[in-house]
Parts: sequence; structure tokens; C-alpha cells
Amino acid sequence: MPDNWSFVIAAYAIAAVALGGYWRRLVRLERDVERRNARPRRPR
Amino acid sequence: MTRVLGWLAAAGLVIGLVMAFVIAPREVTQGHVQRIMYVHVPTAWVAYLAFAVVFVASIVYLARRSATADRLAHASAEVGVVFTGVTIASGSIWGKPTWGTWWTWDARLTSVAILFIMYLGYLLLRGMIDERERGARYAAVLGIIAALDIPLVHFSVYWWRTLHQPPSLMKPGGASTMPAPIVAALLVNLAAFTLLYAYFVARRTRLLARQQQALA
Amino acid sequence: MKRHAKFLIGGAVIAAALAYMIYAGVTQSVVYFVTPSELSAAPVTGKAYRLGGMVEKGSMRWEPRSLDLSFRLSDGKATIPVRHRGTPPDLFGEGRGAVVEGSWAGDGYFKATTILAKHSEDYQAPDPASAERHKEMIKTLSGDTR
Repeated sequence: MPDNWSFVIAAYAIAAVALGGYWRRLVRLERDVERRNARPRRPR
Repeated sequence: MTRVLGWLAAAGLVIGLVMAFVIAPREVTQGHVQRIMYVHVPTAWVAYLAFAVVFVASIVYLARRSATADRLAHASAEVGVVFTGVTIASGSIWGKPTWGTWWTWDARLTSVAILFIMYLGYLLLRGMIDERERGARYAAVLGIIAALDIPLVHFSVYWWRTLHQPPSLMKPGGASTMPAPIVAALLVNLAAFTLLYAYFVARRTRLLARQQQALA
Repeated sequence: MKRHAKFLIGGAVIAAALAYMIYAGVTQSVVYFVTPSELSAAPVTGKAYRLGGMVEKGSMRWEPRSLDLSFRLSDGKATIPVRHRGTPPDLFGEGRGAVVEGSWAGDGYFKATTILAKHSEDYQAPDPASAERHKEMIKTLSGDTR
């Protein structure tokens, strides 16, 4: 039975990219909010 | 608190990887490719959990109009969509060398695809309506309706003829016959991915609160 | 207005995808495959089927040069001879489940265009005793007699 290691690596890599990417997105959005909250609010 | 959760999840995932690649044996019929299970099954479980949380939080929101419940539902749906995407991708990659196809329209795969699309629609609906109260109400209704697909996904392999095999661990009333190292590796990864889910949701919920604060 | 249009397009794409999936679900998933008994009860020549069953032990013939594959699919009550040209998936084998896509050829066999292997949910570790025997065998073969 061939082991298909390339498929195993691909599956774990996709999981890492998706979950890591989501984590980075959260970090970025948090930074954006901090910045907006720190700035004096614009009059509407 | 969230930070602790994050470190716990990270530690869990590292142990999970060791379990999946070192402790768990090479499976007899499939070979090493079976190790995809240690990411496929936990992400699928988290998808169920995430959408179940959306379901409960949506009911709570409709009953009490609690902004916290609304944010929890929103955060959990978003995280659930990410995990469902990983489930579908890893399943597809596992399917090609074992079944001989990336995709087929059997009941399990079709119901999961519907689940994924419905919650994408849920997130779109959330972004579409500016008026917060009305958006939350519509989303809560959709969050309750869409959750009806969860049992369909899980039991599809029993109710219809499918290419997908039935669950190995979450069998209705049947003990697993799998060897202990395989079960242990799966359980550790289930715990680790659940921690990661909790961490993501905690962080996303907090972020939503801040975003709403900034807008107010 | 621009944002509104974006959401409208997104909504339309999602609605179309959902409609297609429900269509696929109703037409394909409810009866994902027919069994050999069902097919042999009323075979329609030339009609596209998905046929599922166990690959009968001792029925498989595989010609690696011409890629001609033949075997019999059984559900315990009826058997259907299947012919295919191509390489089957890794997990395809005698005594295992398989789902084949193709049509009933009319002259007594099923002409498969796609072979899918169905695997069990029961994952097994290698038997340590047999692995040990294997190691012993390799040792004696290489003349290493420690």
C-alpha cells in the first residue's frame, strides 16, 4: 500500500494555513480597533 | 484568561501532532495517509460544536435580546465556517488517494457542503444589515434553521447509502474497536482543537464587542 | 450602493450554490448507488448508474499493460460482472467495498467509467507479531545471524 505522504503533508499544511491565517486576521482586526479607539472620535 | 486558553491550545496542538505522527501506528490498509484523520475528524467535531453553539446562542438572543449571546453566535459561526472549510479540504485530500476521488455527491458530502454554504450565507447576512438589532434578529433565525442540518450531516451515513464511512468514534451506542494508540491520538487532537475553538471564539467575541464600541 | 451590490451578488452566488447542492442531494445522494440485486432486477441498457457492492474474492483480473480491469460486485444475493479500463484507487481490492460509475452494457456486464473504493471506519494497527516475523525473515535472508 503506497503511503501518499504528499497528501498527508498537503492536508496538514492547508489546516495550518487556514487556522493560522484566521488567527492572524483576528490579531490584525484587533490592532485596527485599538487604533480607531485611540484616535479622537470624528464628529458625525 | 484568553491568553491562557491560547497557550493551552498551542500546547495541545503540539502534543496532538506528536500523537498523530509518532505515537499512532501506521494504519494497516491505508498506510500513513490515514493520519489525515487526526486533523479531519477533530475539525469536523469543532464544526458541529461551533454551529451547536450558534444554535443555542441564537435561541438565547431571541428570548432575552442579550448582546453577548448575539456576539457569541456571530463569533462561533465565523470560527465554525473556518473549521468546516478545513474539514472539507482535508477530507477531499484524504478521499483522492483512498476512495479515488476528490469529491462525490453522496449524502455526507452534500449535507456538509450545504452546511458550509448556509453559514457563509449567515455571515453575509450579518454583514449586509447595518441596523444591529434587526441584523441580529434575522441572523438568530437563520442560525436556528441552519442548525437542523447538523444531525443530517452526522446521521447521513446511517440514513442513506454513502461513499463516506460511518464514524469510528462517535458511534451511536457502540464501543470503538480501534487500537488504543489510534484512539488516544484522536482524543488528544479532539481536545486540542476544541481548545483552539474556544480560544478563537473568546478572542472573536471580545473583538466584536470592541468593534461595536468603536462604532457606537 | 456599491456595498449593497456586492452583498447582492454574494447572496445570489450563495443561493445558486445552495440550490445546486439541494438538487444534487435530491438526485444523487438519496440513492447514491444501487445494489447488484436492484440492478439485476431491472437493468436498463445504456442508462447511467452508480453501483455499489463488495468485490467478490477471486473475481478480480487486472492487466497492467492494457489497464483492463474486470471483477464481480456482489451484495450477497446478486452478482454483477464489471469491466473497466484504468488504474483503480489504492484501496480497491477483493473482499472490500467499491462503488462504480458507468452503465449497463446490455451484454451481461457493467461498463464502469469510474471506480471508487469504499473503506471501513475500523482502523487497525500493524500486528506486532507479523512485523517481528517479517524482521526475522529479512535477517535470515541477509545472512545476519546474530
